[in-house]
Amino acid sequence: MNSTRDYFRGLNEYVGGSWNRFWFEPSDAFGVCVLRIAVGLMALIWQLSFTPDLVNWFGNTGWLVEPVVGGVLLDPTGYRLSFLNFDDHPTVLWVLHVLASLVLLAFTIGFKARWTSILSLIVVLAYAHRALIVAGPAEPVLTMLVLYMCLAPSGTFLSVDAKMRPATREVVTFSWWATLSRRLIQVHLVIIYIAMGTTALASETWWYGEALWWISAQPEGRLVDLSFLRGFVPLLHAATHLVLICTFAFIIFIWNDWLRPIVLSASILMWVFLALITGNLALSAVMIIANLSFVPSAFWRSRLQRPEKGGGREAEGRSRNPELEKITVSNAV
Amino acid sequence: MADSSDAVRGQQAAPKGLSDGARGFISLLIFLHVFCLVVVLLGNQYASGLQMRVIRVLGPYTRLLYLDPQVILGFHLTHAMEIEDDHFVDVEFPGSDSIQRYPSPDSGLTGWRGGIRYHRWKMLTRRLAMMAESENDQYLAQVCQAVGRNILNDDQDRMVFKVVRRMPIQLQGTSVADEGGSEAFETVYEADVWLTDQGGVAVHKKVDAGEAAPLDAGSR
Repeated sequence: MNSTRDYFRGLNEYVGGSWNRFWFEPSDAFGVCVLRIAVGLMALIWQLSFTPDLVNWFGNTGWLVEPVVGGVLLDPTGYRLSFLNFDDHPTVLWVLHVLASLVLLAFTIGFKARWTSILSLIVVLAYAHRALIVAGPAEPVLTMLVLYMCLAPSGTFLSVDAKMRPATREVVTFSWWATLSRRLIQVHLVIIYIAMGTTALASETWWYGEALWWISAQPEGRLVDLSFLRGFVPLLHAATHLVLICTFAFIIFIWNDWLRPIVLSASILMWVFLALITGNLALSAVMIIANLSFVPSAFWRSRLQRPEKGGGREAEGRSRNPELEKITVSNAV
Repeated sequence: MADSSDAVRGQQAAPKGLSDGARGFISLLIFLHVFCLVVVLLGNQYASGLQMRVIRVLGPYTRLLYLDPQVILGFHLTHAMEIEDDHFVDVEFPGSDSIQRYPSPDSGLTGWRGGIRYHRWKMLTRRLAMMAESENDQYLAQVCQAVGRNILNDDQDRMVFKVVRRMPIQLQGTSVADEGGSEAFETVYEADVWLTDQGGVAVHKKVDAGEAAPLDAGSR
């Protein structure tokens, strides 16, 4: 009886401790600041790409009037709030569009990042909801990235906020908000990979190794012509299987410290390859950006931060996080 | 790119701690959020009856944050179905040779092949093709009306709206699709659209003669 109780007590402590470390252990905010730039830039490009079609789609005589958008929904009742629904007059649309661009620009450069991150989420959701019928798989990834950036202290570094900060003000370099934000992106991304992998396996074309052919057999969308692969069918099969292997390897091995760099590199290469044959650069770009959430802050610091003259200040916040220890040591050196 | 002053401007402070109560509450929120993600994302393509009911219950939260866009997204990239082939919308004007094609990388109307705009048009035409396949004529008529209101005017008061499928290139042997001639294209939906005297937009779907007036086996 006691051994059973001890087992469950031990299990509780193990699971609870692991959970707390995973979600709440403070980590360096530098990584989420790099992500902010990438996510902001992607959101800005995505939003600006609506410019040529703005009135043609969302205007009062546009293609995407409400019955057209609502007609494709599985369940038409829903909460699809969008400020683009308030008024479909062209002038109002243009004003809203310019303001939305400015918000995303401010977020990208890290100006009042705490507020502009939330406003950016409102902007991205407004466009995504309004243009639901023309949305592909890239939009849900982009919206989730912007959503989680709202939680992160993303203006701490590499930002206008950092430039404007008084030298006397305290900076929280290590924050559990940074951990929470990064972890939510990571978990969400892995669930997307699971959806991608399991749905692919529901189709025989992936089992037969022909899926990549059918993607590249669409002559109007692809960026490179792979029809020469007709003569190398085993190569085509191998490439298809490799995409699936990469997908499932990511789900399982991305959590392993030793295998993470390999899995991450393979995944990024896979998305570059898929961009060429699907022509869907936006999807590949947002997936690669989401993948970057697994890159430790120490890596970004070593690449992006110039060494300080006379050595840096030692971080006061102590943590069991190896990233913190690494940075503290490097600063001391 | 980075300025070293970013790191040293201001004094570094210790991370603020989190009370057990706050951590427990946030943990609960995280658990509920991840549960929502798993249910809606894994049910995007195929879902059980139970899953669909749970998705409907979670809808107010998941749709608000676009976690469940309510349209099939295609994370799987392909299932090699006809519906995933390239589709276009062709708008033809009677008495004129001009055809507006959406999407088309050459026309300048929809951007270049790898662009975000181009892929939005691709998604739109694919969804129209899905509606044509399921014979949802009412929905397609609404689309035709919207496009008619957008394009037609006093000078050009009539058009033909077509959803066209481009056959894929076959893996085994060559086919009509390889050459890209007219045989490589199949019209899956066609309608006449015109401005009425009252200023409205009328739509009339075109069907094959056999479909409009089918002959039964006994008739002559």
